[in-house]
Amino acid sequence: MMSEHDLEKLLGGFAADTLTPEEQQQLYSVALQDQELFNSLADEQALRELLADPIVRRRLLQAVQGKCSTTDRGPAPWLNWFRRPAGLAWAGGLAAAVFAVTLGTHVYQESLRQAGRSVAIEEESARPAPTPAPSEPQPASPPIGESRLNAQTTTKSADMPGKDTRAAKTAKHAAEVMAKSVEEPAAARPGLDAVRERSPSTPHGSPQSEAEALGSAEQERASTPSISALVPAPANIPATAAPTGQVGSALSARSLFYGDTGELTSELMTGTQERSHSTQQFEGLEQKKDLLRPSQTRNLTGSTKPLGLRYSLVTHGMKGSHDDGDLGTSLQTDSIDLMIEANQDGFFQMWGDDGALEPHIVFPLTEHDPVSSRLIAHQLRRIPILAVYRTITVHFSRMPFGALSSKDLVEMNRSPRGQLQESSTSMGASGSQELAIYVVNQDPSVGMLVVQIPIHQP
Amino acid sequence: MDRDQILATLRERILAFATSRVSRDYAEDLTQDVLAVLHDRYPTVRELAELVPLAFQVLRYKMLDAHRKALRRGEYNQELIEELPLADTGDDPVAQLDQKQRVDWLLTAIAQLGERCRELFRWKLEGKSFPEIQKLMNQTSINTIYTWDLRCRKQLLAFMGGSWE
Repeated sequence: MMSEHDLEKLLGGFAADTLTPEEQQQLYSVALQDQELFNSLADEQALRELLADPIVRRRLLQAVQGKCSTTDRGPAPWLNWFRRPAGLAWAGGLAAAVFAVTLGTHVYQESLRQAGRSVAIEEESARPAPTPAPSEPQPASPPIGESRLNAQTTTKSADMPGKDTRAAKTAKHAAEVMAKSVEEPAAARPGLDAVRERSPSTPHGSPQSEAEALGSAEQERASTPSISALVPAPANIPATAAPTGQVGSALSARSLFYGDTGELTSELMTGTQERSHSTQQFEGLEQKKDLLRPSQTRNLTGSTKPLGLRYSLVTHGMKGSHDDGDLGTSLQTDSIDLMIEANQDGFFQMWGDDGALEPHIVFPLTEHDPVSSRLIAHQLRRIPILAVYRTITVHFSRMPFGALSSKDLVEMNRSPRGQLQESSTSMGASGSQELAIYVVNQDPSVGMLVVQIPIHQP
Repeated sequence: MDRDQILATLRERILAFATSRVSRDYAEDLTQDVLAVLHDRYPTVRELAELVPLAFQVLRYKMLDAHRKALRRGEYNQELIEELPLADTGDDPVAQLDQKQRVDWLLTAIAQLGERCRELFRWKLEGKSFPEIQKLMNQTSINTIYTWDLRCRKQLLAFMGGSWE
């Protein structure tokens, strides 16, 4: 005997009219006493009426039989197993386990790879560095600058674990240099300060500005971690950077000139230059204006490092020897070779000023339209110059440019803001000394560098 | 329980049910109409198992009829009787459409049922009783079939939108 509550289970049989006489008796007897059950039966009457129609019943039966037959002749019993909740739970659990194992394996392999990289970095840093920076006299830096620098270095190193090993190495090295500079005795500084005074264009040699310069350089490196980690450093850097005595700040112009992000810029510029091999394709003042817009230049080159030039003067005079060109002395010679090298691909023009005539273009010389000449990164160019000029102005840009008017020249020469200059003496192949000047614009967004080179001082 | 007792109890239940759906006065009239039909048209029906489903059937017809009358009289939307078309003596197209729609909904709802529910529904459409279905589905307890059927019915009702109408 069913309870009154359980009689609700007979509602389905009531609608289909499949109740046995006993079930009907039970159901109706209780329904007469129970208003709720009665209401349920009254509502069920609609379905009962529908199912009482033989045509409707046949249609429904066909529909159900069709469905059931397709499921009976299902593709595979294991598919039915998946339809059950337990089967779904098993499948879900298994999938989660497989995913966890795959992820764990991947993380483990990645950690092994990173550990291998860090070991390699430590071994490399343990070796004596070929760069002369640690043995060179360094400018004094107050503790504030040091702490800021250390903080920046630590932050950068923490931000790029195992990705940019070279950048991390450079940052570590720079931090060591700065730390050593603090420990240097004050007695070693007068000579250095005197030399620094010789470089008038290095007023930013204060410790704080140096730290900022380093910070910006590191920021540049950090902005291109993956590429700079993959591309090896230029092979010619050690050859050109083998000074016997370095003057000025090791973290300023020279270090910025040999920054690590040059490869990226070089690659980007190579792609650009291959498409525009001839600089004469770029004409008009519009391009000149574009060159002066830093934001556009930044967009074109992506993450760039500061523009930098390294130059030195080789004289060929009546003496017939390769005397060193000193900025402070006049050169009484017939011709001079200007050795110029850029830290990234670009284009340059050279203008000469002999004091008598208006400044005019010296290189490249074309008959009709003066255009910029291409300068490959870290490729030394030798430009012969007549000794009659007092100053040579080099305009170096990442993008080709055309003729510059006198107004443009005056505008550009007037404000070489943010430029760092540093001189470095090195021994040449023939045993003669070479005084190289590094000029770098601190702002990497600046697309053009203007360098004035004094040649002849009466 | 004799016929008069059944009819008296039925009157009470029908009035309560009708009151829950329409107004009290109208429910009184409706109940009276149902009992009048049972009394006048089916005086020979005396068994409980016959009288109760018959009462449900008459009650449903009377409620639908009242609904149609109210619609015709413009109780829901006041329309002029002159504008209404003449009654067709054939099948009611509205009823036909209503039934067709309900069948379609039912087919759609059945298609969403699980395999066991569809199988159970098939047995019932074939006229199998619960004890027969118990044997067909190899179940030892008939309560299992009752429970399955109750769940399937609720599921089907939910797929139909909560009402068989």
